[in-house]
Amino acid sequence: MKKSDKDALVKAFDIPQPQRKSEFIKYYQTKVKKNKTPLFPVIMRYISVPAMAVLIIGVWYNVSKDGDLRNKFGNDNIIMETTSESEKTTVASSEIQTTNSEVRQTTVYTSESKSSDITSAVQTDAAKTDISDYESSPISSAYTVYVNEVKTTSAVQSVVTHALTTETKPVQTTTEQITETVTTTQTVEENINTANDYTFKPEKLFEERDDYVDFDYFLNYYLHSGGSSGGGSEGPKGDGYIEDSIVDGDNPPQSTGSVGEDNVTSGNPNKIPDYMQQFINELKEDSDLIVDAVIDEIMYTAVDGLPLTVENITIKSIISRDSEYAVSDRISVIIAGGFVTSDEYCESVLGYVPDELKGLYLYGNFGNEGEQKVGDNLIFFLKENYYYTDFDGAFVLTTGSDDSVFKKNNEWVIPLGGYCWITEEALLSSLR
Amino acid sequence: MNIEENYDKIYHYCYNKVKNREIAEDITQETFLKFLEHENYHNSDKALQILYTIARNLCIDEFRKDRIDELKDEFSSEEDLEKSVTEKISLKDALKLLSDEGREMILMRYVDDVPVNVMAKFYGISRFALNRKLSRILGELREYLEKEEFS
Repeated sequence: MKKSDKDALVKAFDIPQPQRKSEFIKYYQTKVKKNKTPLFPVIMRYISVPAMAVLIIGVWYNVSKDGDLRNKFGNDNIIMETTSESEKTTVASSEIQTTNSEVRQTTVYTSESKSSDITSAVQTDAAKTDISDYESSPISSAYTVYVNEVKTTSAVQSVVTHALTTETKPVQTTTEQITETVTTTQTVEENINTANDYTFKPEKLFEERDDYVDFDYFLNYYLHSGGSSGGGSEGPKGDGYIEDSIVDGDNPPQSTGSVGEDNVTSGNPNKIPDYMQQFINELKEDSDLIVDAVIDEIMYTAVDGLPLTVENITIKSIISRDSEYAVSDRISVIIAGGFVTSDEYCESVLGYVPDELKGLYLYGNFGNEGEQKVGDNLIFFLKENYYYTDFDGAFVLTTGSDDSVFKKNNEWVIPLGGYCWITEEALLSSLR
Repeated sequence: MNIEENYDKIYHYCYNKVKNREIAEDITQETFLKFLEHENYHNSDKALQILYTIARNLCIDEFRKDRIDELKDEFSSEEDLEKSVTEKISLKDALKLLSDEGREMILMRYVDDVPVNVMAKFYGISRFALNRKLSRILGELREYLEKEEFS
């Protein structure tokens, strides 16, 4: 828009100048100074970084180097084992206490000793070993059991180190028992290399209905009628929602000529129009995860009365780099809008349900103009969810609306929110 | 956050809603005070969006104080509309022919230069949808002005 047009508009709106602006700004700035950010969250923010680093390094140090930390972390059924055995053991002090055949505490200082680190699963077995046998046995060499409880992380609860010289039979027997335990748990480990399911299933669910009232219509009706039944010219029960058509329709261009409503591309189907390229760049920049996925499940729920759609999707391929997710993993995407009952909405927002608004089913697409259904194979641009605390660990659409979701038609793709078809190859290459 | 600049934007928005300078300024100031109480007020990325949202809610509250009738514009009948269109109309009159939302969008986007992403989130629509709406509204304005210099 030209400056002259803007000036004309400013004049046309004819908005009088505010009269109390300068006084208020002074007052506001004073209030801002008083309303400083509390120090505690700031301190915690910066202190937590080195603390977390120390914690991670500590955990990493105690976990075997050949382990896949990502898969094993937090799994108590998995044993991390080093294969080296102790050769020399020097006991500085040793104390074996037995009560009902349990090891309670043993303190050992070893040098030049490589040890086996075994997680809590093994510790339990070791603890059950009848140590009283050893006490009564004529053990001349050092027998040491070292119990080291690591309380800083829930994943590695305890580490048992066995450093022993194999001169007596009871000790050898114990070694065998431990070995057997390790073998068993390693089998468990082999069986866990399957896809991970990070999806959510909300407790409060609303069904999809054909006889619903458009959410905006409902709100307008309510606001302009002041909550009374006499305000609207029509009742709130509508005939159903008529979806705005997507600009380019459902079908991509058949030829390799122009693409989309604006016919920007000509000749080269892999050329992305500038405005589209800019949009894709922004999406890429803002997204935490970009995946090619299939919708498995669509559920409708509500938080504080506002409808939400929970889409559970299975990842077919991961387009973004450095993802911690894998193909076949399932994740949840939370999308604003969906179905909710008027009772749920009114109860949450107003605290009561007006008689004339009872028993309705509301639907709002909240700016998501495209249709998504179970079985659809789409490309999702996602951000980690920080908005809906009930779904911590789920994702939201990067732009907040479904122009972050591209539908496919043969080799063509288009954002569900519109605007122009481009080839999937062009999209993927611009994301690399 | 640039309070000087944002004050004008919110004031313009409120004035366009309530058509009364005193009330608009009251709501504007109330908006900023409520914004200060907002837990994310220090997040400058979303400041303008939060301000607009608060202002809209306060304007709705104002509507609900039975002021709706006072706020209706002068074109209350179809007869008036036809008369205005057939006569030579000014841009000011053309703006009045737009819907409330259309006028508001023009004010925000072209007078106060509110970014598209902020407006899209404020209206709960995609950026594409917003651009389509703005194009349509500008088209209506052009039509009203018989394709004069407005572009």
